[in-house]
Amino acid sequence: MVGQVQSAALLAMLCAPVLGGIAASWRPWLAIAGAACAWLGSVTLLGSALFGEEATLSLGRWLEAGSFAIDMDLRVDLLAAILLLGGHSVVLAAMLYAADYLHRQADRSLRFSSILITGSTLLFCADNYLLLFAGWVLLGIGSYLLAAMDHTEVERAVADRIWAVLHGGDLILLAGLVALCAQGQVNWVEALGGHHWIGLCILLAVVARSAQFPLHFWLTGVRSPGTLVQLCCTATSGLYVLLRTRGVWGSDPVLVYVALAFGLASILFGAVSSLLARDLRLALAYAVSSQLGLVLAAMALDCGQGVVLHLVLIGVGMGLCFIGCACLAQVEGENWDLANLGRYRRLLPLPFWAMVLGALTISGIPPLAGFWSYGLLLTGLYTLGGTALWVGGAVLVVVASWCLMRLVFLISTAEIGEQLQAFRTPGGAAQAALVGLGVLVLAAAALGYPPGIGFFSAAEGARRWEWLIGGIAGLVGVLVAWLAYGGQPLSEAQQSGASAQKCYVEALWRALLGRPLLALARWARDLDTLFFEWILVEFGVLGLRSFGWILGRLQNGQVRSYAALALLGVVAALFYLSIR
Amino acid sequence: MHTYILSLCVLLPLVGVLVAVICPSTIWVRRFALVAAGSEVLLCLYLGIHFDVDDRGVQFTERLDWIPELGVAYHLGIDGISLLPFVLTGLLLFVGLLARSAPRGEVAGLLAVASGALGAFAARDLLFFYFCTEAVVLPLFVLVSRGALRPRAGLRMGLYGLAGSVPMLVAVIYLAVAHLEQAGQLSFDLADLQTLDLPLGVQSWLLLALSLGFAVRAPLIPFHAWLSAAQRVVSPGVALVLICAWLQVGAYGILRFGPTLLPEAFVAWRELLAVLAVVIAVYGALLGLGQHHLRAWLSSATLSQVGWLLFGVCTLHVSGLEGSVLLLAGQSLGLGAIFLLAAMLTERGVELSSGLGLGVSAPRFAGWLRFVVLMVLGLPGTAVFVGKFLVLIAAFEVWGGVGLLILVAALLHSVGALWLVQRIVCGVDGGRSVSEDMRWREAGLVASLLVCALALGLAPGPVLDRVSGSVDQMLIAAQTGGEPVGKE
Repeated sequence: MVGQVQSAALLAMLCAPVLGGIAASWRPWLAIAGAACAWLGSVTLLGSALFGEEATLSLGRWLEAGSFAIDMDLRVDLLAAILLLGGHSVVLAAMLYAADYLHRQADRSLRFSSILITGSTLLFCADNYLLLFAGWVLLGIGSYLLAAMDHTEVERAVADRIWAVLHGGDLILLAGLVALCAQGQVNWVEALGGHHWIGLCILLAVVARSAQFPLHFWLTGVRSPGTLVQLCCTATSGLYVLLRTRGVWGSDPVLVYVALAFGLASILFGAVSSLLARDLRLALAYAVSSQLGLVLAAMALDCGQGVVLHLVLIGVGMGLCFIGCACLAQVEGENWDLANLGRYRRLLPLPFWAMVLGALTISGIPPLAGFWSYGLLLTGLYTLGGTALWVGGAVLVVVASWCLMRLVFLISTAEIGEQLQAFRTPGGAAQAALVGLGVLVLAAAALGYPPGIGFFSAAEGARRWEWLIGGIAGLVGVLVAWLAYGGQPLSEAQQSGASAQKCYVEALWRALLGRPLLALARWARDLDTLFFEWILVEFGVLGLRSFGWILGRLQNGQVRSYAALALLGVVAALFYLSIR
Repeated sequence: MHTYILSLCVLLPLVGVLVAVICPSTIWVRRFALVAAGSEVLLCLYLGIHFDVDDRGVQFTERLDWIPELGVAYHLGIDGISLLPFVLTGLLLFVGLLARSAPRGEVAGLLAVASGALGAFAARDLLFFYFCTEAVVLPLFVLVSRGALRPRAGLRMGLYGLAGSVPMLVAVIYLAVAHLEQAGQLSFDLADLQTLDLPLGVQSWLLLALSLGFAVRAPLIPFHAWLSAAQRVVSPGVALVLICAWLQVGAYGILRFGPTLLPEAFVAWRELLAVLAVVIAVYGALLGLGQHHLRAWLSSATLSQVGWLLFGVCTLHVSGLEGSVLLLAGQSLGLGAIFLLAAMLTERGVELSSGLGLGVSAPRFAGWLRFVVLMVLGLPGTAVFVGKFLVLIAAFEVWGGVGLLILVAALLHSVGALWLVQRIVCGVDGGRSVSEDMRWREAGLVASLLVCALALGLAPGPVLDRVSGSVDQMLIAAQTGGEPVGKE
């Protein structure tokens, strides 16, 4: 009976979003119904996974060529179930928001969101690398389509960037997975290791997908908060592949250091950029990049359960922040300056407090779930590297907390902007999305109680006060943010200095790769036009005409046909001799 | 029914041609052509269903001596490799005829070309294959030249085709003469020619000659200049038939004859051919990067995709060859769908080029265009996705990590494609707005091709089961020329 329920849930997760997405052009709410079915499926699977029941479903053989065969099998363990619920919740919330606010384009947004849900289902439920890759690519495609949803020129440029980075990562990952499959490791449960470069491929693909420095610009370049929340899920899910393939890259110290370096660079760059950003959306996007860097670094150091919990919290907590922020777009229009968002708290109390809840959660403030995830991460660090690593981790938590609470304090103390567009409070669907995600965040916190006995236990060998340091570091971050921004709005000097901030990473990529490639493409086109289109054709025609003219002259009384025939005979004889 | 089914498939379109010539009513000509093409699809499906998976040889064979003195026979048969392109040709013909209310001459031309292509796929006699491939040159020349905007396009295509056929004919005749020397009688039968014992040098020359013929049709560098010119002028139906009659036949020729007829030479030169394939794929992708017109991009995309296909064949590996067959089908369907979309918009007086703002003026067209381009690039679950994966598995097993270098072409190709699509779809239209969005009938036509591509990608098992026997045979043939690869 349990097995049948699990199979039904898996099938519902796979089919409902696809059918809903197709039907969205007819009735948009069908896409939401499909996503809701998928969400219910993920709740069911999480419930059974918590009781130790791993869900599996075999849809038969997918492809078989010679000795190589891959089945279409799905498997959901506890890790996959947790991530499924987190991912589906955030995308469903974003769809509810879209249905409420994006009247004219809701069907398009909902269709593309359905692709995201299907992709994440395949990614998290895949039993083998090919299915996992299919889900991975679908997530990228969904993100790309969402980014260019409105068909504007600005969005086009953003979508180009997203596609170039994400698909580049896709193909690097494909190289690694093909190598693994060719060596007989088709399923992730069999990940035993491989060449260094296979692990490096997987790592680089994940770096691109999870918006790590210096490939973060695909995420931070997006300006629509409604889209950002979904792209945030895409970025988060990238790290899942790294978790699944730990057997391939985790035993190689060089790769571990590479992952650690990327993670640390992303934490620092993301945090500094977020602290300097004046645009609320940009500050949040950089905070996501920084948080994902933290998870990557923790993953490199093999910090265990904390990684999974924090990964989900990034998705859900940031989902609250972005959807709250997206509601603001309907009030402020294009005004995203942190110095002028004072009315946010007063006009939109529910989105504002949702954003505060998200920020507090990711800041690690007790008793919220971030407290547990940071606690687990830091005790993991302590077990691995002693006090030095533990203190370093605590400092990073302080910085992360500072970044997010800065936004909360700045908005709370900001001036009221001058221009006010047509004011609109969130409708029922958007409110339901915010409340739903808020409940999920609180439910995640409840999992940790009572301390030490709850679902998440401390790492072995760590003492209680070492474990509490995550919460303390979060509170220190809040204090720092309060001291810096809590008392007064941004001064004129801070405003002018901060607005000059500019990041050259994307320009560097464009100069290093984009322009040379385009120049090469132009050169290839010129070569093609000049050589193959013109010289070859024109010279060919000229050669044929000349040959005809010579033959004509030969036949016109000089040597007559005899010479021509003799010539042809000699050519034929030479040809025969040469191949003989 | 089994006995004459292939003849029925090949000759049925010719009956349509006859009706088009005799019957004065255009409407009745169209109706008859549609009935003939629909029957063709049903017959092809019948073939596919009744194809014996356990039989590794040629099935549904028919043989009739044509010129006994010269050893030429009307010999037809289908194996796993030719089955899929054969069926797809029937489908593409039907969709091509449905796409537009074509004039009588065009209907006749389409049917004639499809008949030639079907004959080529079913031919078990090399001279008959050559005859079929050449028989389509004249009707195609007329069909392409009818687009009066660029009358030279048809001429260029015809001349390229004829230039490629000369070395191919020399190779065909040489093989028959060699059979006369070794077995005492002239024969063009493929089964006989596979038994020939030719030195490596001769095989190499013959491989070059045959490759030249196929390189024009597939097309490969440097014989691709005709494609972009032809693609600019053709109507939807002609575009689809162009794919099955020329592009598919060229690619099929490479897949079919290189490893089986001239195995030693193919094994000896396959590394070089693989490098050439990668160069072609990268070069095609580079040409597509930064393009502003979809039709121009289409010709570069075709080039790149053929590079992938040739690469898969060069692996001489079970996965590579089976992947190539799937790629051939997937690319034909995907490129066919893009051709259809482009031609539908051309009929509305709009060229698919950057700055069109298609997403604003015709959102349904924009949605389909994105979907179809993603399908050509290898959307998960489509035939191209599975085909490319199999080719990559084979390449890694044969050449190690170096074999994955072709992914560079995939990256350039996809970036170029989506770059162009975004420029077509996004932005405001510059006064060139599409008068009418996609109609349901048009959407149905494109969807039919997409459904086939998805079916092949999600459940490739039935196709791969049918292909695997022939691929095994091909590898056994290649075994005489070198070590067998990829089969345990």
